[in-house]
Amino acid sequence: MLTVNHVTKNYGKFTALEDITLEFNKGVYGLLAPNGAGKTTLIKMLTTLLFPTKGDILYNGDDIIALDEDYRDIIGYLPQDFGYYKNYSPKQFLNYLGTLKGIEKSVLDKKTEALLSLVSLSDVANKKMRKFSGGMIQRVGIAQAMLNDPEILILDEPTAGLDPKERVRFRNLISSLSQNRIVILSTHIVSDIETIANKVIMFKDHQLLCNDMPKNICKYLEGKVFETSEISKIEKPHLVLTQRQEDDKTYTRFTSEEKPAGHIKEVVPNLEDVFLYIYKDEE
Amino acid sequence: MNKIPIPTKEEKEKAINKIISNGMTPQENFIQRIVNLYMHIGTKYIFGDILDCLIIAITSTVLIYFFSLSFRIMNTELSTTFAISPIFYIILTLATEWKEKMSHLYELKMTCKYTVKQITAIRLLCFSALGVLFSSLMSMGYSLIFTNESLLDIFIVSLLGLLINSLLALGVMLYGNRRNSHNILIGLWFAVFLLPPVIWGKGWNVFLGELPYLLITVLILIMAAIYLLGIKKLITEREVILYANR
Ligand SMILES: Nc1ncnc2c1ncn2[C@@H]1O[C@H](COP(=O)(O)OP(=O)(O)O)[C@@H](O)[C@H]1O
Ligand SMILES: [Mg+2]
Repeated sequence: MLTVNHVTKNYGKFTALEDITLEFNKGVYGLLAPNGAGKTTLIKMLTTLLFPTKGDILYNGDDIIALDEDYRDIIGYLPQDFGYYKNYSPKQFLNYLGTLKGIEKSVLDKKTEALLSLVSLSDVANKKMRKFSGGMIQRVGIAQAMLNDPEILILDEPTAGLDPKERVRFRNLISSLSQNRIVILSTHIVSDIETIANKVIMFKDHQLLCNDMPKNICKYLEGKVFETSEISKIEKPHLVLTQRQEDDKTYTRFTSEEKPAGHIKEVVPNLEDVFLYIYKDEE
Repeated sequence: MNKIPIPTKEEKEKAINKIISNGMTPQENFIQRIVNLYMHIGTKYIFGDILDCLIIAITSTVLIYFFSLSFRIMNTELSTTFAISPIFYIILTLATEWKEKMSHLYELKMTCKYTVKQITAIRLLCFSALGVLFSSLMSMGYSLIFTNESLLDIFIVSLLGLLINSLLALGVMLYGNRRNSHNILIGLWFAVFLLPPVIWGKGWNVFLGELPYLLITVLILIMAAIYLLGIKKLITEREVILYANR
C-alpha cells in the first residue's frame, strides 16, 4: 500500500499542491485534472524525483525516500515527455534501461522479448526508433516501465499525442497490466480513464477534491444534468457542458440546479459532465 | 584513589587494530559496491554513451599540452604543470555532465534502481584515474624537455593540481547551484590555477618547487580520502528539482 500523507509541495513561494492525503491499493487510479493542476508534481514525488516540502510518502509504512534503491526497484515510470534514444532499437533500449534497473543479463533478454511481444512491437524489435510513430514510442515506454515487473506502475499523460485508435489500444493495454499492482495514470482527458480507472483523483485549487469510484463522482451531479435541442429557450442559470448532433438537430447537455420547464430530458451524469462542471472557471 | 591501569603494549595494539578495522569497513564496502556496480552495468553502458566526450577531452588536452610547451621560455614549468594538470578532468566531467543533462532520459534514469548519480560516481573515479595517467605522461614529457626540474617535482605538483581540482569539481557538484555549476567550476580553475602565476609570476613557480615532499604527499593523501567520501555522498544525494517539468 502506498500512502501520501499530508503532502505539500512548494516551488519557492508557489504552492503547487497543498495537504494532499491519498491511499493507493491494487487497481487503476486516474489522476484527472486540467493542465497545471499539479499532476506531474505529485507523480514526481511518487517517483522520488522531487521531495515533498511537507508531509511524507510511505510504501507499506516505510518512507519511500529512505527506502531509496529498494523503492526504485519496485516502481515503473513513464515520464510525461518520454525521452528515448533515436539511434537505439527498442531491444537495445530495453536492454539499456533493464541494466540500469539491475536486472540480470540472463533474465533480461527473455524479459525484453516477452514485453515487446506484449506491446506488439516484436517485428520492429531491431529497427531504430527514429521513424517510430507516437503510439509506437509510447508502447516502448510502457514496455520499459514494465521491465522490472513493478508493484507500482506510474504513467504521466501516457495518451498525449496518440490518435483515437491508438488511445483505445493503449487503454486496453493498461487494463491488461493492472492485475496485481498499483497503476497510477494522469491525464486531462476524461475518456482516457473513464472506463479503466477504479478510482479517479481530482485536484482543485491545488488541493485534493476527490478520490473515489467514477460512479460515486457522477452522483455529485445526479438530477442536475439535462439535455435539450433548444438551449436558447432556457432561462434559468445553467452551464453548457457538451453538444452532439443527431438528425440535423444540435442537442445540448447542460447542468442546472433545478429542472427548467419545457421539453427537457433529464440524463444520467457522466464523468465528463462532472469534470467540465468542476473546472468550469478554468480555461 | 583508583588508578587506571596502563594498558599493555598488546592491549594497545588490539585496540588500535579494532579502531582501524571498524573505521575501514564502510570504505571497503563502498569500494566493493562501486566494483559490483561496475561489473553489473558494464563498460559499454558506463562509457559507451560518452565516447565523444572522451575524444573531445583527450584531443583538447593534447592540444593544450603542446601549446603549453611554448611557455618553456618563461621558466615557469611547475606553475604550468600545476595549471594544466586538471584540464583533462575538467573537460571530461563538464562534457559528460552536459551530455547527461541534455539527454531526455535523465529523469527516467533517475528513477531506475541504479541512477545517473551512481554512474557519475563510477565515472568520476575512472576519470580521476585517467587524469593521473595523463598527468604522469605529461610530467614525463615535461621532464624530458625542462631539464632543470626533476620528474618527481613535476609529477607531484601535477598530482596536487589534479586533486585540488577534482575536489573543487566534486564540491561544486554537491553543494553548488546546479544551474551554473559549469561556470563556477571554470571560474574556480582560473582563480586557483591561473591567477597565482599571473600575480606572483616566477615567485609562484619557486613556491611550488619549494613545497616539501612530505607536505605535498600528506596533502594528496588527505584530499584523496575526502574525494572518496565526497563520491560516496554523491551516490546518496538525490533530488533533481531543476528538471521539474516546465
Ligand atoms: N520547477 C518548477 N518551478 C516552479 N513552478 C513549477 C515547477 N514545476 C511545475 N511548476 C508549476 O506547478 C504547477 C503544477 O505543475 P504540474 O505538476 O506540471 O501540473 P500538471 O502536470 O497537472 O500539468 C504549474 O502551475 C506549474 O507552472
Ligand atoms: Mg503534467
